[in-house]
Amino acid sequence: MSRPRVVLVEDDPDIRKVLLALLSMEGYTVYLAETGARGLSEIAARRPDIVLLDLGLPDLDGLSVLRKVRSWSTTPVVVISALGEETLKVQALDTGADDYLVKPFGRKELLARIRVAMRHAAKEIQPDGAFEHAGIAIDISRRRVTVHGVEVRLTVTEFKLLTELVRAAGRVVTHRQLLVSVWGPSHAKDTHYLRLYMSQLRSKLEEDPACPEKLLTEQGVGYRLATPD
Amino acid sequence: MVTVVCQVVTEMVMFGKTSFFSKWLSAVAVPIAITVSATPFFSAHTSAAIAMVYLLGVLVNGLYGGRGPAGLAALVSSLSFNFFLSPPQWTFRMESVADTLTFISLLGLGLVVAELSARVAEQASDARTREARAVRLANFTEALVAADAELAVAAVAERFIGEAMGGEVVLVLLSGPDMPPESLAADSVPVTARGRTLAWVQFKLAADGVFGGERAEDRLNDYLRPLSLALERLHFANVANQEALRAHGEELRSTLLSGLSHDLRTPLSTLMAASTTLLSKSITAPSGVLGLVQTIEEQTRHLSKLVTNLLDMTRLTAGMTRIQPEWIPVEEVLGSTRRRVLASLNGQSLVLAVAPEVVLIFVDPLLFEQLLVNLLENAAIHSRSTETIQLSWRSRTDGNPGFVMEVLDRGVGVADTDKLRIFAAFERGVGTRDEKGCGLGLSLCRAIAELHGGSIEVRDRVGGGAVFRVQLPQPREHPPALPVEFLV
Repeated sequence: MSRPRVVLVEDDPDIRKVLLALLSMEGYTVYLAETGARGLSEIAARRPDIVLLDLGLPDLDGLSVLRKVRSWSTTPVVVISALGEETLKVQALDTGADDYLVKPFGRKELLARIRVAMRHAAKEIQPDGAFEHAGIAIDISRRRVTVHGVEVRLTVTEFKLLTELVRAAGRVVTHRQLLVSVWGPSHAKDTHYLRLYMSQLRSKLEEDPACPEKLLTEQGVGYRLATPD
Repeated sequence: MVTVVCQVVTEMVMFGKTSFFSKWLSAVAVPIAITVSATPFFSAHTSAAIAMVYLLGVLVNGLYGGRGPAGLAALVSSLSFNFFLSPPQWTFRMESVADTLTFISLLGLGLVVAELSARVAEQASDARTREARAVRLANFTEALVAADAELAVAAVAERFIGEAMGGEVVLVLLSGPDMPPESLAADSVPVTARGRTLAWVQFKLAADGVFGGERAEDRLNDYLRPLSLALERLHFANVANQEALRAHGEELRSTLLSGLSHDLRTPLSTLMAASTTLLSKSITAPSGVLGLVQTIEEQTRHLSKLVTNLLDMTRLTAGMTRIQPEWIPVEEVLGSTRRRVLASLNGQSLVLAVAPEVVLIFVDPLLFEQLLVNLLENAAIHSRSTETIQLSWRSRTDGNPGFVMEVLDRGVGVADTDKLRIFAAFERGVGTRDEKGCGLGLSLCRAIAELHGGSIEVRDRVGGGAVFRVQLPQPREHPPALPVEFLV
């Protein structure tokens, strides 16, 4: 792909300047917007490959910008939240954001999140195909999981759970999203079930469940399957 | 002699003064005076009128002298009438039936009038006394309302009660213990409200040793009631005032701190993004320059942690964070904690020793993870890079359901004088090389531990170093286990 296009919706001028430099250096074409309204028009006009959206905008609340974008586009969106705004970022993820960053964040984190989000959009990750990382090989269509070549038996629920994480590979999936897709909407709040199943998955798939390398916990948000990055 | 009598009577009537002597003197003198004046006019026609005049005399004596003198006056009047006036004079015998009747009526009526007039006088006197007391009490209450401080109330109370009881009174104010201090005299009276003693009224006895007069206790209570109300009112006004001040102070502090941390986050983000960009491999620069940029990045991270702690501390102490504990697998907390502290460990290794019975813990995941992170980072700061930091976790053995978690390091340890201080906000241990500690991390740990109903303390480690021990209670019941499933 030629220079990928980013729309950055951020009201603080200093951060805008730095991110512009950072992303340009990495080969992205960056379009800037200081307000939510401006951001929406830039997204509509430029049709970017990825959107970076700050949730603390002065005019429109970040969530409503997200909702508007999602109503007519599946462009990947990574939201930027501030320290202490846990519920806000979870809400954003449940509203359709692909991933999140918490200020202050470093270069590596930013680039990793953007890359993962764009790979999903480009369908580089097969939703029902095979996945492999750090010794785990998952073949969703054949319902087969191996760790370092050794097959691992999973229960129905465990497999469903793993599949959801694999489909999102690299992106965070919120508790709510996992619960609804694996157990159904009436179980959206049964977080402790989710935790126990994740614990079982870790014990089957990780070398050291207390120091996981693949099934990562994002405390207060959800879970993420680590991808080679 | 008539003049003397007239003088005495006038004095009594005009001034209401009745000394013992003049009362009884007039009881005798008035009838005598009437007898003497009536002698030239006595006849069968005038005897009744004269009898009326005697009765008048008894009445006056009763009003101003009391029932005793009035009774005596009645007796003297009737005897004088008999002896001096009614024929045959100078004897107690009486000739006519009318005169006999007059004599008997005079005596009888005289005694009745004596009684009645004495009673009237008493009631009038009582009424005046009561009115005076009521007025004094009303003035007392009014003065109390106007008093706006405890000392003013005390001054008012001492003056009025002293006047009412006829002696000197001292009000000893208390704001605590219910027993009088030993310095109080034994006959001090407590001022109470709702079972609590607010003050003590101490009496200095009058010279004659008698205090207060009749029904003194009742009268005193009349004064004690408004006094206790006034003291209570002041007490509650004080409490409300202090509460308002404290709440206002808290509010100010919260607003200040949250505004501060908000303002700090933005420049921190810029610093972080810029410094990490400079450190990326795509930028070539002399190593000296890179080293400086590295320092910028490290300090930015450190500042960022400080701001996080500050924000958390503000929210916790302002009561804005409600703790939301849930059952989570202990390994989950351990896993995400280790990833977070990885960057802070400068070469030290972390060893876990989790007892097999600790599988699920009931904690607020975000807060508890922050507690763990802070403890581990604190251990990393105070240990040399070649040392191991140990984390141990086991159930409580004292019979209460709960767990004990310890972070052990081989650092310089914590001096005894600091063992409590380090958990206070913005305190640093004396003599530690604490360049990177910010003084809030451990106090946040304590706040979080206490929010969970637990505790945190530090002890010396055998062989050198420190042991930070966190004890948390846990509910007895565990959540329902997962349904049994078959493997696919």
